[in-house]
Amino acid sequence: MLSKIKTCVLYGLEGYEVDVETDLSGGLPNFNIVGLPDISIKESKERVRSAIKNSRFDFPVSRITVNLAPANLKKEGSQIDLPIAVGILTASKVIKPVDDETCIIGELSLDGRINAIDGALPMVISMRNNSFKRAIVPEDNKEECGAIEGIDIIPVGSISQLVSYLNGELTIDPFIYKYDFSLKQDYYSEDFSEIKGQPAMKRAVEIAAAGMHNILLLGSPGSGKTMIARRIPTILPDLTFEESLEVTKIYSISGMLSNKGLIVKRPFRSPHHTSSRTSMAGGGTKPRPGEVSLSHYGVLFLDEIPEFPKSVIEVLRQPMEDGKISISRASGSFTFPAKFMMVASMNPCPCGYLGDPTHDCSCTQRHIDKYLGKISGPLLNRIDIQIEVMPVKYDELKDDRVEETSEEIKKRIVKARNIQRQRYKDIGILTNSELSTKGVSKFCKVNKESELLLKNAFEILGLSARAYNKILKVARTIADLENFENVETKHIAEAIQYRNLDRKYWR
Amino acid sequence: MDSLNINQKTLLWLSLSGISNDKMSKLLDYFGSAHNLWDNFENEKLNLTILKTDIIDKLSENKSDFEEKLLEKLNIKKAEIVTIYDDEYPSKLKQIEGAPNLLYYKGNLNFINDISIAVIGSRKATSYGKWAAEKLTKELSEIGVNIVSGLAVGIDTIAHKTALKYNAKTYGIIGCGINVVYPKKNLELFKQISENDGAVITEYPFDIQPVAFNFHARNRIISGLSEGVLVVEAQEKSGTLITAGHAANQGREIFAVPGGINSLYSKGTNALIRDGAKITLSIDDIIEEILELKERVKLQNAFIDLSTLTDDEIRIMDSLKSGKNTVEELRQEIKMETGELLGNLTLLEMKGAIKVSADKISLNI
Repeated sequence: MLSKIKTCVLYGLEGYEVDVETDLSGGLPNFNIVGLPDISIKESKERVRSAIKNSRFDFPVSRITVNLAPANLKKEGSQIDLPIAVGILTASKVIKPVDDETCIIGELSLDGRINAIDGALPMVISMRNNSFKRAIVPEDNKEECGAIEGIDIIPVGSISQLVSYLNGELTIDPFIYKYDFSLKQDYYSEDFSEIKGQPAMKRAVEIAAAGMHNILLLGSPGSGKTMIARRIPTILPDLTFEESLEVTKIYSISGMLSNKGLIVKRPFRSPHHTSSRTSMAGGGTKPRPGEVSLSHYGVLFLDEIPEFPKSVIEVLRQPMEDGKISISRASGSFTFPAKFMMVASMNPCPCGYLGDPTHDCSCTQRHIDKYLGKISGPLLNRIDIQIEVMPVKYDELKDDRVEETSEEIKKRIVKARNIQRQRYKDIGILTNSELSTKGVSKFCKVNKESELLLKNAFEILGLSARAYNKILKVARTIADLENFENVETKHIAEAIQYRNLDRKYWR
Repeated sequence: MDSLNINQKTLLWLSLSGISNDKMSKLLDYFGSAHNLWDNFENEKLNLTILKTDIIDKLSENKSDFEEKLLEKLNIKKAEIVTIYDDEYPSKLKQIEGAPNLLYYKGNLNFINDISIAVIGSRKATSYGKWAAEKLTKELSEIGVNIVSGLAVGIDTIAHKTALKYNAKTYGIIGCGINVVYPKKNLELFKQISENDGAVITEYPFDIQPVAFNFHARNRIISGLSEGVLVVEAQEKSGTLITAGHAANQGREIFAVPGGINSLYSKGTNALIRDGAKITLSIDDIIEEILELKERVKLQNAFIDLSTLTDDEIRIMDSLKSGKNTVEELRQEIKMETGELLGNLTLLEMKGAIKVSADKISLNI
């Protein structure tokens, strides 16, 4: 007897349709899986056998051959357990034949229960795009998949439940999870109002968030760099449904969905400086997204950026440029989205106290030069805003003055983002930071007076040439925040303040 | 020049008859005043031991008819004269020993009492010397210092030309008659100096040719007209060092640009430094030594642009003056949005009024 069940394997974020063909024939009892299965699938033999038995069904005593078609595609992942089990039960006529508009994914536990799998969301989305009508998914994956429209999500908890369902003895209502993205969301435990003082840093961060500009915070220990970085997601606009879906997909294949449903918080990733290149970029034999992808649509915070090995920092260059990262492995080339706002922090010198009015710096000039030299020019080129921060004074800290909340700041940022989206709707970008050199000259036109100011700034303040476009982009964002159609001189003047490290440290 | 007062008339008459500045001073001492000298010369001339008889004869001969001829000559050459008794006489020059009693000049002396620096050096300057002369003169010109030099080739020419280029007043002191152009190729430079509120100045009467001794003497005028003397390059025994010597005697500051110890043209300057001249690495070294200049630079930095400041900028400046020095404090005091405040700070910084650093904002005074 032959049966055919549809299922799915993942390559990167793309799901590919796979047929699980099961044939029962006479001969010595045997169980074979062919069609380029990897080890996790070969092992599924044991899980399938026990799960079927422990669900009180008979495991057929015959020669079982399972073929995974197409045979040339490498398959991996434990989600194939369930379709194999269903295939065997269908071939042995326990289950009525399953129509080919239903795809089945799930991992089996020995007692017949169905466990959650990684990457359910991208699989279901791909299957929907391949015009499947129904997806049978593990009970524990239902929340992440429930928001997808155009495909019925049938959550199942065990083999026996699934058998009853497929035989029509049990109806399971498609699971639908409605997210209301227009509702005010309050997911963050931190808030901007907790940061006392530091108006210049707050302003710089607000501008960075509004234009999705990468930002470098430079300051001695205790000046609040990490504190403010952690609060940046709270002022970024809420994720849209599409964005949320994309982020959830990435977290889904990484098995990092902790709250099951879609991810609605902007990601904040803070990899340690001992992280490897692979953990940053993604990869491995079964390619997984790295930190750059995990911070997609969110914030990638690199604390103490000079401590990161150069090779790790250099992998950031492609994603910062293209918003995605390509990983090539023997098994193929994978592309993961990686559009993030980079927030980097560093001390002004190895000991951290250079320029701090209250501590002595114990570094030699050679050490300082070496430390600053770790930030390469090309990387610096991709950081639009640099700001120096100073430790807060005690009386500012204990001051109970009311500071602006994230909510208030966010409102302004959302407004500025909308202006940008509207302006760039024809050229396919969303924010000022993505502007190309050509785009800068088109959208950041400046008047004579500003031109003169810029020219003078280069001469008098000794800015480096690489600062030119950055200043214009940042000035554009400032103008957007203040709802100005054109970039005015005052915007340029302010933007120049955010390049002061350029002239002080990297002259 | 239409007519001469009695002082001018007397001194011109002496000068024209070939009386040197020293003798002139002695005669004036003898008679007590120029007026007296003019009136009583004939009566006293037989008692004069200061002068040789042929010179006395020449003086008598000249006395009656020199005036008209000379006025005409002055007018043709567009030259003027000033005596030590006149208000227009450079006040700094009065203080020196052997101050010239009479000066011939082309151009005007309206600004000659302002701060001036003499920039002098070798005629055969190296490219380093030329570069240094140009750079330092440019920077001095930009802070409004007058440039005095000797209108010779080499460093002198560069000093004058650079000063003209950056709109500074410049004074060229020559060692020959005002109607003699030496070196010839500087004719155009002579013209430009006198036409741009500066002057070409000499103590020698018409037609006197440039001889070595004259140059020696005119060097005291170069240093005398200046607050300080900047020696760019000088050989071991040179006129430049003589000027430096005059400067030292006159109590002027001496600045010297250091050079390689293997360079012939820096031997003099390096020796000056060894002997106590101020080593000059940038014009800051000059500014530091000259009190008036120091004050002026301070004022320039503080006030040069006050008229161009906007109301907001003035409010920020006022607040800074009252002791506020962080963005936070300023923001609270003048109730300005952070962004706007930061923008204004950039503008103020560019105008040179303030200095912004991470921990505080300081006034540039």
